Amino acid sequence: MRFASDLFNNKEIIVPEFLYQSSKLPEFFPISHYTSLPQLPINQRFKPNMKIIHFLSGRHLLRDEIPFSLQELHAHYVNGYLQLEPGIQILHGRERCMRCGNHTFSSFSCARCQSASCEYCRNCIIMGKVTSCSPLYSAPSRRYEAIENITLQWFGKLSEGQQEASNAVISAIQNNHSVLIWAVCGSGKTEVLFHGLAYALSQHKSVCIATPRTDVVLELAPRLQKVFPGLTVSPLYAGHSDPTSSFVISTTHQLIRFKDCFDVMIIDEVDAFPYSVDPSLHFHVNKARKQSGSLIYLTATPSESFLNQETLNTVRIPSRYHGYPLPVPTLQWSGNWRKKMEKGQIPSILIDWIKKQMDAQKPVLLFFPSIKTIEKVKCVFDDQQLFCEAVHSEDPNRAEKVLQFRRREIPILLSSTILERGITIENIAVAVLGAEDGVFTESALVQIAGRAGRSASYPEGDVAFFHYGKTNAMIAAIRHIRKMNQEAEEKGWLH
Amino acid sequence: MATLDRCPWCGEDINNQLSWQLLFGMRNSLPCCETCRNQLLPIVGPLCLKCGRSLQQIDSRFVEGKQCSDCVRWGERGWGEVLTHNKSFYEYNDFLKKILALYKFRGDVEVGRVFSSLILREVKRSYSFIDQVIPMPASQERMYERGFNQCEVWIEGTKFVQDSPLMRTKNEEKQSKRTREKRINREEEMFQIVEGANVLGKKLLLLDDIYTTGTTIHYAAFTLKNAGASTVYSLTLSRG
Repeated sequence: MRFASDLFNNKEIIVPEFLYQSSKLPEFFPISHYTSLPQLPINQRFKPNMKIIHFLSGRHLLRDEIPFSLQELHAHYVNGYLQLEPGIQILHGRERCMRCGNHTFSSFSCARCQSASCEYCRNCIIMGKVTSCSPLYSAPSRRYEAIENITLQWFGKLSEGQQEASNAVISAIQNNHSVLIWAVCGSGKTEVLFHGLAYALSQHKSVCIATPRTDVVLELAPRLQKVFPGLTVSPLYAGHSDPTSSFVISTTHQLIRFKDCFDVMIIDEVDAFPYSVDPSLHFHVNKARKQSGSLIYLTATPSESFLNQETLNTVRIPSRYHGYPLPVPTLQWSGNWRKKMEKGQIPSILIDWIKKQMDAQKPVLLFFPSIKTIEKVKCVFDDQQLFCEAVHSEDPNRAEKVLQFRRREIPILLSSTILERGITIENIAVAVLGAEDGVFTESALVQIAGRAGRSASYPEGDVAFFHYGKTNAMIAAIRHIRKMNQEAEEKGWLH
Repeated sequence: MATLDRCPWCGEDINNQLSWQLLFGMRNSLPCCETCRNQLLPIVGPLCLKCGRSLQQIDSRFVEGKQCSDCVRWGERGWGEVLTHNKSFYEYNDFLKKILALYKFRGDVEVGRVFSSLILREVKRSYSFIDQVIPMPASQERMYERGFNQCEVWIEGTKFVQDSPLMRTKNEEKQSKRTREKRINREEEMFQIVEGANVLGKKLLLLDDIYTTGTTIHYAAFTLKNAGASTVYSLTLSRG
């Protein structure tokens, strides 16, 4: 879009090209031409449209994402109720996409600003196109009206470990600090948040729980809605971008459309893909939160670099909520299993293990290093009449197959690392074939082992790593799990 | 422009692939990764002499001699001389559909530029007799909405860029204000000649992203021929 500079109440403003009707037109420039746009003072005599204020509060949106007219937006801007800034700006000598933080751009001949080389950001284009002529609109995050009775409808009892972590969460929210809750798989980390959330919401703080994965948003939103029946929970994921309340459960991707919004930012599974490898997701999260607010990280497997942040306060929950130790994986040498598979054979040690589990009526979840291996193994299993299904990240029927596995309609499920997190199935037996592969990092193996023994009815799970040569990751994962069990034992938190 | 170390379509690292291509003189292939390239289906003969679609891909009931029945119908309705011939590069499969959506609807111009060299090479090789290349014009509203014309991008920065003699009809009359005859045959109103432009006796090449029913291209060619163009050809990326 192009704008002209003008005056309003003796203050310098910019006016979109389309709002000029007269035949004598001023000179127009792409918005990136206006390098500093001062915040205009609120005009008390102007009566704002509260729908616009609410819609834009704490958001960071492109023109095409806002369902209000340009005239209305302009009126709210000149009267101090909202801000606009160029989508791409030069900061510290470097161009930057103000929405995703990216630094490299492509350019094109733009009909909107008539520049022969208008730059645009390819990094976040899937969420709408930011160009050097796009304005980004935002309004200050508003304080929400007092919500009457915020009552937590949850009467469960926290374990000792959960209680300690819960106190740390409350304290971080009260003092606007950061904290890492390092909670083993199956420790019940969602419950650890309940009291902190109740406190934050009673103080009318805006809260966001961010996670890299849509599955988690969809699972968490109804759980939280159930324990806070008086509130509206806003789940955000692809296709659902506009919140209806200040209590948001969002994918890290969706946070791209927020700015200075949340008093409390909780990041679940900080180490999960793609958050762990995509710096723009960190940018989104950081932009969406108020810098003066609190920041809470949750994970079972923090990375080395994450733990090396000296200033970060860490609270560990080494025990599961049911008080039984984490199952320690066994290492099983399976020889050159790839070669065997090529010949249509399965290592007998794996067959024996699977048969043992099936005799004990346990659902079997097997992990493999790649989609190709899964497909190969599926063929061999089919030949040997071992009834199984396979899932991976590119499988459109993934959710349905997992559901069938959960209902025990499928006895064996073959998976890529896609199911390493978040799947909870009672009495499950878990194994990895090809544990020596590079995709099975320490944290991946700890997460995989963490699928077993989660239910209080069946706390002793069987976990096996079948391998063709021990790796450091395998040893580190076992050491990690043993250390947690030892720490829980020392605290007296185990049965 | 983005550097070419990643496939503009899927983001795959293509440094190695590119250097191998250079070594074997395969510079003619598209600047994307091999996996993506292999998902495009080039249209191969025998082709309809008129619209350039593959006659093998359609039911034999719809083949009449060396033409497809769609083109025979155009001829029967008196449109046979309007468009001399169309050529298309690829079948409009799901993959190309996805790529064109990224290009046109998401507005990722870099995605579309992958085709520029292919199209330019073809224009230079097979259409050297042409007086002017005309990227299919977009309406003003569409231009603003997308921010660019997807066909102009393919020839940007080359000698083929010229002021277009063709434009979409401005301020179309409301349907209700038209006569019945005009409502049905709205072809004259889809395009018009730009004021002052001269196409008299010229050989013209229309450039578009897709030939589906051929309606747009025929109507554009009709307007040009009506204004005195001698012949009108068309070249499209895909054949729907």
